[in-house]
This record gives sequence, structure tokens and C-alpha cells, in this order.
Amino acid sequence: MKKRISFFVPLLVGLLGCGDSQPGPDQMQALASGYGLYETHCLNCHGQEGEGLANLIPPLKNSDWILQHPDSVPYIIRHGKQGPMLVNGKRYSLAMPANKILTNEELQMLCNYIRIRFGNAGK
Amino acid sequence: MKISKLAGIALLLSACSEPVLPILGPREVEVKQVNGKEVVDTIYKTIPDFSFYNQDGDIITKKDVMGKIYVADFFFVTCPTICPRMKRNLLKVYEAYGNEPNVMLLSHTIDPDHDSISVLKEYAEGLGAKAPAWHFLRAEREYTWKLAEEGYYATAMADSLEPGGFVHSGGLILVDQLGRVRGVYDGTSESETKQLINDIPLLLHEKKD
Ligand code: HEC
Repeated sequence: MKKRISFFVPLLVGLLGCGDSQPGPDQMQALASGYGLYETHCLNCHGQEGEGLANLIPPLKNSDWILQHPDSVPYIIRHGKQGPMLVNGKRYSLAMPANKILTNEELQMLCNYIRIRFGNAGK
Repeated sequence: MKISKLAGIALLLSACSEPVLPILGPREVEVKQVNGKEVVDTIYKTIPDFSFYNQDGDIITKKDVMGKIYVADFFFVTCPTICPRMKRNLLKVYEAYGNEPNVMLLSHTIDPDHDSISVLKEYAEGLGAKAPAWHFLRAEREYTWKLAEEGYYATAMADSLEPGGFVHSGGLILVDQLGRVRGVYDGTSESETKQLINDIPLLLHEKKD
């Protein structure tokens, strides 16, 4: 199922962003369509409530990293992330694997979902 | 889950009121002559001898777990699928029994090429887990896979089609003081983990006969 990837993805991903530029005309809709994606691709690691796992996997819930790097979110979902990062003052160092399966549309849906569900919309 | 394949699942019906956990796995029946009478003895299969390094570089063998109750699982650090979920649930077991000297957790890596002792150490520290209550064990991969399959009735092997490159079962395997498998719980399920936490005292109260 690895269609539609590679060439133009990195470019588009850069443009999509996870910022609050899209107020989401229908937030319920975003939550509904994002949940299945979250469950399939992220829940195992980041947890049912976005709580993360001890000092291994950072939380998505109220993450200051997401607030501070909204545009990097789709990038790290697509390309993964190696090496340590600070989230809410704690240091995490496990690697997050790249996700090459999600389409750009799905990526956008996930970003909206995380923003609405886990309170990263910014003030 | 491979349980259906096993020769038999024995459910011991006890006379006392406390429920008793079944003894899983194959067993043999031995007929002996005692004082001229035939006596039937059931011999249950136990975990084979083993030897691993843990996250501190110490050698852990079957001797270290005999007389104790432990929960075994198979995982790898870079696992993108069920492992974090299993570890989240195992943490609950650790929180419940981490200070109980007769209960241990043994997490075996099935990817020792990546999961060196120092990687396991970092992972254990990230979880807040410490030996001797929780060991993260490493040996050669075929050795670990064989033990998983033959000792614990679990699956662990390389599979390039799986995310992360390995397939393994998500079971939390409960072993009693005599080294017999007494339960396999789905480590990705919160309710089965709760069941496991509730079942451990049943074994703690058993006599070590
Ligand atoms: C295999 C486990 C795993 C999976 C699956 C996973 N992540 Fe991560 N994620 C991590 C780890 C580990 C980090 C920290 C990486 C680091 O330290 O460099 C992280 C970091 C992050 C961060 C930045 C830090 C934070 O918590 O704010 C975001 C955002 C994120 N992940 C979102 C996702 C989303 C969305 C998905 C699903 C598409 C996902 N992750 C899937 C393990 C995972």
C-alpha cells in the first residue's frame, strides 16, 4: 500500500503545517475522521489520552513542543525523529519511526485531530 | 495465541474455596509402583534452564527466578506496534508488585542486534524500571526465540513483512514458583492486565510444594 509517496510529499508536508491557520469549520468532523487514524498509527505509542509512556515516549496532550513547533508536526510524523527532545521539561530519547503510509490528506486530518483533541491549538 | 495447540490445559479443581489457576502446557503421566500399588503421578512441563544478561550487565538464570512468581514478555525497543502498549500495561504490574520481592518481571528483547545492554539500560531507565524487580534480558536471537516458543508458548521471530521487522505475540506470561506457566494474558489489553494483577496473589498464596 505504498502508493502516492516519496516525490512531492516532503514539499507538500512543508506547506501543510499544523498551525491554527485552519479553524476547522467542523471540529466534530475533524475529531471523528482523525480518531481512526490516530488509533491505527499513533495510539500504541502515544496512548489513549495522548499521555505518552513514562520517560520514553512524550505526551501529545498539552505538549509545549507542539505549541512551539506547529509546523514541524507533519514533518516528524512523515520522517520520524531520532535523538533526544524536550517536551514539557522532560527529556525523551527513544526514536519515533517515520510513517510513509499516510497520505497527505490523512496527515492533515491527523494534525487537526491532535490540535483539537489534545489542546495544542494555541491561545 | 498458541494455546489451542498445546497438548492439554489442565484445570485443577481444588477442594478449597480459593480459585486455582490452571497449569498450562504439556504434561506427562508417570505410573509408579509404590508399596506394590500403582500410583499415577502427573509431571508438568517447566521453563527450561536459561541464561541472559540484564540491563545492568548481570547474568540472570533460572536460579534467580525459582521460588518466585514472574511475568515474562517478549519485545524490542524499536517496536512500532504493540510493545509500547504492553509496556504501559506492564508498568501497572510493576507499580502493583515492584516492592514485592517474590514477584519479578522479565522482558526479553527479540532484537539483540539493536538492543545492546546499554540500549536496554536506557530503555529501562526511561520506564523507571529497576532490577531485580524488572529485568530486561538479552541473549542471542535464536536462543531467545527458541525459549519463547518452547518455554513460554509465545511466538518471536524475524519477519520482514511486519512493521519493525519482527513478529511476536503480545502475551504476558505468568510463571509460578515451580517454573510452570499458569496463565497467558493479552498484554495489549487493559482488562486482561487487571486480571493478571488480580491473579498474582493466588500464586503467592500457593504452597511451594
Ligand atoms: C513507535 C512509537 C511511536 C509511534 C507509532 C508514533 N510516535 Fe510520535 N513519538 C515517539 C517518540 C519516541 C517521540 C520522541 C522522539 C524523540 O525523542 O526524538 C515522539 C514524538 C512525537 C511528537 C513530538 C513530541 C510531542 O510529544 O509533542 C509528536 C507531535 C508526535 N510524536 C506525534 C505522533 C503522531 C501524530 C503519530 C501517529 C502518526 C506518532 N507520533 C506515532 C514515538 C512514536
